Formats: sequence, C-alpha cells, structure tokens
Amino acid sequence: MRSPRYAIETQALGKSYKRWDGPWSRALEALTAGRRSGHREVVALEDVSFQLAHGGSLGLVGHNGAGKSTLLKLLSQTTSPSAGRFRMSGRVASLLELGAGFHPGFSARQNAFQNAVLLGLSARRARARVDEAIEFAELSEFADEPVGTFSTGMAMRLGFAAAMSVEPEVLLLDEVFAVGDLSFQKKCVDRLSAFRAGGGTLVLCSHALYDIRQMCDEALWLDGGRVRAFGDACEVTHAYAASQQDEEGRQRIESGGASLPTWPRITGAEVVLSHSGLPARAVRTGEDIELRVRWENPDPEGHPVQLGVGFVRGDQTLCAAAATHHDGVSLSGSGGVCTLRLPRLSLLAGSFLVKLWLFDDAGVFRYQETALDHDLVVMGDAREVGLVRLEHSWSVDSKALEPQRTPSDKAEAVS
Amino acid sequence: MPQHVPRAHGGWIGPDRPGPADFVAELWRYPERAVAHRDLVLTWVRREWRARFLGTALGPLWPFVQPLALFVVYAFVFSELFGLRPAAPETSPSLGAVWIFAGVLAWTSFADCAARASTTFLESRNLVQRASFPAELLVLQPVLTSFMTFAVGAAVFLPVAWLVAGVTPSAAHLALAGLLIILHLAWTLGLGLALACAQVVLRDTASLVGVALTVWMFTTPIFWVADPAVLPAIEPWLIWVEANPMHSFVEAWRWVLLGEGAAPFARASLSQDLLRFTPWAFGALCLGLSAARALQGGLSDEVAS
Repeated sequence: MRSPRYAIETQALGKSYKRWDGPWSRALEALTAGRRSGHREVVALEDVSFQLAHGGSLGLVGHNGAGKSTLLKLLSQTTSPSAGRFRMSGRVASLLELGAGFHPGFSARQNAFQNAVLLGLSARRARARVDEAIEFAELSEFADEPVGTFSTGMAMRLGFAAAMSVEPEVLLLDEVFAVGDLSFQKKCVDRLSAFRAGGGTLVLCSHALYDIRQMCDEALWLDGGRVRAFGDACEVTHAYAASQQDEEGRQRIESGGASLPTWPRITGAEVVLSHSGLPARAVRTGEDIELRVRWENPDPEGHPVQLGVGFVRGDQTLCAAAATHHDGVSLSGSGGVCTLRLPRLSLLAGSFLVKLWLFDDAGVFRYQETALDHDLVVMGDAREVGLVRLEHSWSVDSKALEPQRTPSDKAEAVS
Repeated sequence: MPQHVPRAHGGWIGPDRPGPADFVAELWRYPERAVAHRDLVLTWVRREWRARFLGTALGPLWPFVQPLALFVVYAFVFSELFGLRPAAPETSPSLGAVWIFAGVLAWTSFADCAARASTTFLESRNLVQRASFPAELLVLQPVLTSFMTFAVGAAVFLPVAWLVAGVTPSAAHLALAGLLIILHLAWTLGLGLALACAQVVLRDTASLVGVALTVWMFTTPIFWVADPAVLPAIEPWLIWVEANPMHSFVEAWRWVLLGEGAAPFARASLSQDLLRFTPWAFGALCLGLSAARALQGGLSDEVAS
C-alpha cells in the first residue's frame, strides 16, 4: 500500500493537552459532554507541516519540551492530534521509550510476542518472529524469565529487537536508539543501516546531533512546539548547535556573567600542520599534525575539566583516542588552547570524525560532546591497507630451514 | 493485515471529533475490530487465564470454589441464623441450596467482571500510552475471562446439582441459552466499558463500584426469594426488585442451569426474563460503546495524568 507519494506527510499538525484543576472539574466536563469545560489547554505542538519521502530519514532536534516527543507520539498514533492532520503509509513501528509497553510479570518471549501482535502481525507470523528477536537481543538464556527481573540494559535490548522484528516500513525512534554495551550498540547501528538500505523510512529524535547527521538526510528543528527549520540534516543541526551556543552566551550576559551557565565548553577546534602552522582539512599519513582545541571554563575551581579526543571512522569504529587525564595533563585556568601533537600520523587513508569530549576531573561526566566541524581526511600511500600504520620493521633469515620446535613442544619436553 | 488506523479518511488522520454517526457505527465497528484483532484479544485472555489459574493446586476447580465459599457463608447466615427459606416449606432444602448456588455463580461472574473492568485502562496505562492499538478492546479481557470462569464453574456445578438435588437442564431452556450468553456478554461488555471509561475520568469510580456491588448483591434475590408469600416484608419493595436487571439475569441463568428445578422459585418464565433483560443489556452496550468512542482519541492523554 504505497500509493501516497510520501511515507509521512503532515499538514498544520498540532497537539494541546488538557489540564484540569482537580477531579471534580474533570468529571463535570465529562458528564456535561464538554459544555462545562474546566480545563486549561497546554500547547505542545503547533502548525507542523512537512513531507518525508519513502526511504527518507528525518532527525528531530530541539530543546527538551520543544515537542519532539509529542510529534513522535502523534505519528505513532498513541495520541491523536488536536489540530491539522497527517498520513503515513506502510507498517509503522515505534520505539518511544525503550521497553515500551512491556508487562513486567510476563516473559521476554510473551512480551515480544504481544509487541508483534500489537503491531498488527498475525499470531502465526508473530510466533515466527519472536525467536529471532530474542536471539538478536542476546537473551536466549532468559527468554522465559519475567521482564521485571531484567536489567535496564536487557529490557532496552529486548525493546529494540522487538520493534525491529516486525519488519517495519516506517520506524519512529525516540532518543536512545543504540542501546546496551558497545558491541550491541554496533549491532543496533548495523541493523538500522540495513533498515535504511532496504528502503525503510526513519524518524529519529536525538540530542546527539552527530547521530542525526550520520543517520538522517533531513532534519526538523522544533522550538517551543513550532517548526524553526526544516531541511538538510547537516545545515539544520549546525544552525541548531549555533543557536544553542548563542543561547548560552546570551544567558551568561543576561545573568551578569555570574551565576547560571558556568559550564565549561569547547569554543573551537582545528587541525594544523606542525611544520607550517597552517590549518588543514586533509593531511597525509606520516605527517606531523596538531589538533588545537580552544576551551573556556568559567569556574575552573568548581569544575576542573579534562579533554578527550577520538578518531571515529564512518562505520562508528573508534580508531584511536587520547585524553588528558590518561596522560597526566590537566586543563587548568579559565580557558585557552589545548594542543594535541600527533607526530608521524599513523592513521591510514580514510575519512575520520574527530570527536571532542570535555570531561570532569575523573573523566566520567561529560560536560560536552562535540566534534570537529569537518571530517579529517587522511590521504595515505595507496599501497598500504588497514586502519593504522603500526610502527614496524622486518627481518628475513632465509637459511633457517630446519623445522623448529614450537614453544608448547618445548614446554612438554621440560615437564 | 489488520492494522489499526483509527479515523482514517483517505489515509488522513486528524483530530478525533466523533459525530452522531460515529457513535452509532460503533455498534458494528467494535465487533469488527474485535474480530480483526482476535489474535491480540486471545493473547490477553490466555495470559489472564494463565495468571489466574495456572500454578494453583486446584486449577480449574477455582471458578467453582470461590462461589462455593461465598455460598457457604451466606447460606449459613441467611438459612441457619435468620431462618430464611428460599421457597415454600414443602420444597426440599437441597433444591433450595442448588438454587441459591446457581444464583451465586451467575452473580460472581458479573461482579468479578465489573470490578476488574473498571480498572482496565488505568492498569494497562503502560500499553495504552506507548502502543498504537484499539485500547477499547482491552475490556474484552475481563469480560471474556469472567465468562470463561463462569462456564467452567457451571460445568463443575451441573453434575453436583444432579447429585445433590437431582436437577438437570431441560432441552427447552438450553435452546434459549445461546441468546442468554449473547445478552450476558453484551451486558458485561457494555457496563465494563462504561466503568473503565468512568474510572479514567473520575478515579473514585473503582472504589464506588466495590461499594455498589455489595449493595447490589444483597438487593438482588440471590439468597432470598422475591415472593411475598415466603418473605412478606418484601411487599412494598417489590416494584424495585422487579426492575433490577440483575434479577432477570440471575433468574435466567437459574432456568438454564437447573431446568425445571428453578420452577418452584421462579417469578416468570425464562423467555419473560430474557425479554426483560434484553433492553438492559442493549442499553448498557450502547452506553459503554458511546463512552469508549467519546474517550477514544484522548484515552492515552487521559490515563497519563
């Protein structure tokens, strides 16, 4: 049923919630069929119009309370709009909060089954999907244990697996889409990539702008329930990030530069070539480069900070990382430039996202997680393959022809 | 593929503002949805059935044991302490006992359903808020499980009644049992939906239902007979007792379960009871479906706060 032109189409969509002063005003309104209304309207979403083509992917960005979750709830039809209209085509699966709709008293298998049946699968097809979902969630051992006894991570894994198992054509994801430990996160990302490659339509809501840029072609920026911008994911997320920084700056000025946002932050970063001191977007393997990060810390006593840098390849592999707290360096003072020198760059050809983290003193809490505004392109010697060039040397001894005893043989001989 | 697309007009989904036609259409759309989502409903019923009886030592005997306990206590209070007899002295006490028991069985099925149904939406809040499905079907879970419980209880009761009092259902009455079952389901579904919706709007409903059920049980002729010849004090209240829909409901089930054994206590024939009960069952169904339809679009918002 792919007759409509778009996978998702909304027209002036709006949602307001009713708030009552107390149980009586609510009951009275119900009894008089709304003629005596005692509620106040709280607008969560207003005049949202956009189209998303089949196979498209849309990221939702905005502050908390901007209406992102409300929009996802409307699209997933768990609540109905109070204005405007929308339509969707294809089977829609949503993962609004992970572990959504799970019954704690019933087993992983029963919950996965119910989830599939809720999404419209027949009992027979649902039963066939359940084992696959349990296996994907790596919960085979616990398939018949009640979900209430699961750890949050396990429930989240089951939630993701159950939502994906129904083979949706449109997928709505709220906030955390890659869940669990790193290897499972990778599995989630791969599954989502496969879903996208297979022509699936994705709507993703996340505070991690990097994820939106990676997973989405388009982005919708919601501000106070209204559309602030809609368009190319990179442009919209950058505009949003910029406005957030402006916002912080404005707040600081308004609050007299004192109390409110005293959070440390990264204000800029660039890669430069060591020999010339010139900024570069593309470098060569073996070159000496430096990464210069400007930071500000309004309260170095209260919030001492540490800087982390990571090089991430397109498939989410973190290839290398360095952090000041690992190397016994600290970012003292209220700001400045922190330089990471990388002599004889050992990364081989590829395009790397340079991730920057501003940690607390212990390297646990992340004040900020950002990235260099462009990927670092490394041009390598075309003959070398792999991820990094290990420092290495060769030696060849062509006379050693007699079969040698292996270390284990020796060990046996000794004992 | 039965997928839930509510209020779709050309695929468009807009604000839910049902008109009069939508309310009327609910009479056939609700059963249609129930059939389309039968797998879902069966999953719920099976789950509830298991939760209730699986793992218990008595298992399927429980639907019989629960009314039995109620019966023993009240039969003792009414018959032994108050010296009340359900019929003229010439009828056998054992016949009186199975007559009371048949009434208790039918009543507990109804009361159980009403009490459970009223909290349905709120208890399934998690599901209602986060998954897209016709939530009004949730009420079928208490309706169907309480009916199944009743059926199992009746299946155990019938041989017992035959052993104790020598009564068996008669073919003439069994022929009307199908109609009674339909009315039973319509009545419990209608009332269940109405109560479940009321509970969402006013959280006091479930507690009120508990109180109302106790009052209703004693004002319905379950442990006593609405016959001034046996119970003279009932005379001035007779018009109210006659109007009570649960009176017809309980009487009708007694006819079906006891056959001619119900005759010495009966005020009317089975068909008369059915005739009196039909408008109540249909009225309750209309009320329940309308309440559910009115709430449908806003249910997930309403259960949240």
